[in-house]
Amino acid sequence: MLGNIVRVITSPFATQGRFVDKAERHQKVVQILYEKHADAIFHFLLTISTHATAQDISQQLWLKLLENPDIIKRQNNFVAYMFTAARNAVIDEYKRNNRLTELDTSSMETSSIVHSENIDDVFDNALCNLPFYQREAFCLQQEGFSLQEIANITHTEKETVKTRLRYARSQLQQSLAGLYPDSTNVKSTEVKR
Amino acid sequence: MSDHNSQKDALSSLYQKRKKQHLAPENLKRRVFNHTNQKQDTGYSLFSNKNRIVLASLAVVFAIAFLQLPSFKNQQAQSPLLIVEVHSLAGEKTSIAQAHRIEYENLQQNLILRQDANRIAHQQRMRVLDTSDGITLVDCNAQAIQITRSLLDSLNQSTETGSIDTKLAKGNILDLGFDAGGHIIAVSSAGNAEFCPETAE
Repeated sequence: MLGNIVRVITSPFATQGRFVDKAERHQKVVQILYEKHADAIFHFLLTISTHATAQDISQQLWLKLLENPDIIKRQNNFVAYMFTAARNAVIDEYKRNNRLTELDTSSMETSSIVHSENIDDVFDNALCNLPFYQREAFCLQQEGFSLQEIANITHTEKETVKTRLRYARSQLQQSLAGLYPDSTNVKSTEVKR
Repeated sequence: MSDHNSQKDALSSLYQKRKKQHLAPENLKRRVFNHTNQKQDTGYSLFSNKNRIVLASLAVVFAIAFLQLPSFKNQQAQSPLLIVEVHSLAGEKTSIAQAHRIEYENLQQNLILRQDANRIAHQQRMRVLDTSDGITLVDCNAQAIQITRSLLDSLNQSTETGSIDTKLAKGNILDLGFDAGGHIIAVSSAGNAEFCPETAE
């Protein structure tokens, strides 16, 4: 009887090694994914929210991923899942602060028109001054997502995404054209710099 | 068209440059993975969901066992099975003692019987008539008894009858002891004793 009890009690400890092995394997997988995608996700979050919010949401997302190994197994497109989760978290943050209606027109709080001749600063300001939905669509496109994927991530229609992207690009080019009247020289100028 | 593509490339280039300038902070990685390691060290192994269920189940089992232990003890004390066991033990002890007593009595009885068997019921004096095949004896009433060689050997082996001199000669006088069943149990030499004194008279 005592032997049985001891065996039952010790069984979780006996299999502890197996649990730890699994956890360690999962952590290594997450670390690899982190190295590969953390910068892109953080930059996306930083572009559509504040620095503090981007840090908080990034941490939450990766922790959630570490604590739930099934997430990776379930997702066919892990990167799309992470960007969707990141975007939803930002929207939730807006909802919590009762600022959801501002999204249609809002540019970033920190953004301001900076009269600079530095093309990076101009681009940065131009991007931050884009309305939220255009900004996120532009970012997602730059991250390599297709129109349909962007539509899925932002829970909208493909045509809407197209429109947002068109406006976003137009706005950005306009901002850059202000600095460089011949907008076609943007790239060549960039290369020269 | 080429202008359009070059504009897109230029925007992409600027975007990628901006991205490189805003990398995920190093402390973010530390916070994420150190937090997980701490959780693993302290809680993952012992207090994981699976282990929680196992520990909770064990606690419930022990609690139930602990609560039912006194009633189980009472049941055990009042159990008719225990009484039966006591009775059966007592009976077994009695029967063993009785069996020993019976066995002892039987042994005593056998001893008495054997003593009786070895007791000489009557004695007869006989004279050796012939020794060619065993011993042929004759008594005073001219009744002959033949002790065959095999019987003689068995009598010699018997400690109770004593050894019989196999060099008996014709005319030797012997005293034969018979038990109640008429079996020869003792043979002894009568020496020069008188044979058939009554006849002689």
